[in-house]
Amino acid sequence: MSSLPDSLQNLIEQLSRFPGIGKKSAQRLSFYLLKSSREEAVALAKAIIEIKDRIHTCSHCHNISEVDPCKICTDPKRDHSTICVVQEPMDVLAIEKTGYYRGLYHVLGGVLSPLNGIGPDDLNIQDLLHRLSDIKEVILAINPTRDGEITSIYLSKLVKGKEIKVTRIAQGLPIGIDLEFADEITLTRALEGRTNIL
Amino acid sequence: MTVIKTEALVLKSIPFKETSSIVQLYTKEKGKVSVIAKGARRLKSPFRGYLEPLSYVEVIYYHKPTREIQTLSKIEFIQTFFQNSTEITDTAYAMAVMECIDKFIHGHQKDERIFLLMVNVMKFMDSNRDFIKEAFIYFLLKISATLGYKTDFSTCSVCKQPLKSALYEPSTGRIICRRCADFQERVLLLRDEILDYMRILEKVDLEAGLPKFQLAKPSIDVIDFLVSYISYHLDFPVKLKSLEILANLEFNIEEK
Repeated sequence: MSSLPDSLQNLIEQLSRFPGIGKKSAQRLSFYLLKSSREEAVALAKAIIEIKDRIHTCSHCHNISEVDPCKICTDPKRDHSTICVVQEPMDVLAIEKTGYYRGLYHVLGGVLSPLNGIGPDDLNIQDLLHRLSDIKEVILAINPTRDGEITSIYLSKLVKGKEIKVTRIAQGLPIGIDLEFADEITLTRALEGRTNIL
Repeated sequence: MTVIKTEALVLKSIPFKETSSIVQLYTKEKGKVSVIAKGARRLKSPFRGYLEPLSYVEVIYYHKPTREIQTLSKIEFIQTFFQNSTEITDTAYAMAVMECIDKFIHGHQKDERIFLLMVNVMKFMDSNRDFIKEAFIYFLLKISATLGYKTDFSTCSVCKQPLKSALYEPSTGRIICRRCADFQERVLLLRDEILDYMRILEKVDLEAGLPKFQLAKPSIDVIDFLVSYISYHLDFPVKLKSLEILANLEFNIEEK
């Protein structure tokens, strides 16, 4: 039986449900919160409630947003003829961090997974097809897993015949890796996708 | 704790915690084994790329009999199947082989025949894409026999008379002649051409190739029949999600 007060024990249990947070880390965070000022604790609690109340998914691209349609979908400076298809909202964040891509996004909400019974009706595929009327290019930025490959092939088959260019982001070696430790598939893909230097 | 080095096929891989994966393998030495690949989803992990379903690999892992999940130490490719496939159907059938092993085999049932059957069928499927459905039917027949539920397409399981066309009773798992059928139960008609094809497949050598499966008349789905047959004998219902999804995907593409 725990010697901790019930309220503290409850907080530890709640925090330990977070991804990557074990019992020990949850304890450390709880004691930190206990020592911090009331204002700090209230600000944190308020922030948590706010994301639950204010963040929704954009009805166009299914990315997370406080407004509908989201800021990316309504930004006139962005290229509205290109859609980058990603698995999850976190992927939008990763691509936005590069600052390179200036088109629109579409979040699928996962990938087709025959082994796990995830089919096209479980993903935002129909909404993507409805958005294609003025689109010139669809970029598939889906994880290069077996399920990701199936999803990319399926989407390119659905889009085929619509006079839309369908591309996939390059696959190969990450920056800073030692070539000798790369697996054969990655190396093959890197060789297939080689480009001219000059 | 012992160190095991063995050939294996990757059945499936599930993300675990922030950066790790739990990988289900069918190994030559120990049968079905789950291993944790720590940090496998990190960008520079040495496991990255090896853990996708349909990979034929050599693994080294730490084995502790009291543990359900073993710890992966090293992994290398022997072969990867369907690497450049642009056909969803091909990959779906290959994945259905992995799904069958995952669902039909429980516990650490070591059987080298199952391992070799999987490897041979995967190799055949990969290099004979036009015969992928035939290879899957062949796999179902062989795995059924290996698990001890060999189908008899020659004689009625009740009166033991030779079969021409036959009926399959899903509720009893029996293949019977029309005279012995109790039509109170639901039955599936196995036409003579289906029986003939099954008899050929039972004897055929995979290396010599498979005959094409073409029926003159519309018939029951042979794969559904075989899965139902195995399912009855295993005593639990089996549904192959890979093939369900495949049917759905094909329908959507045709509808487009």
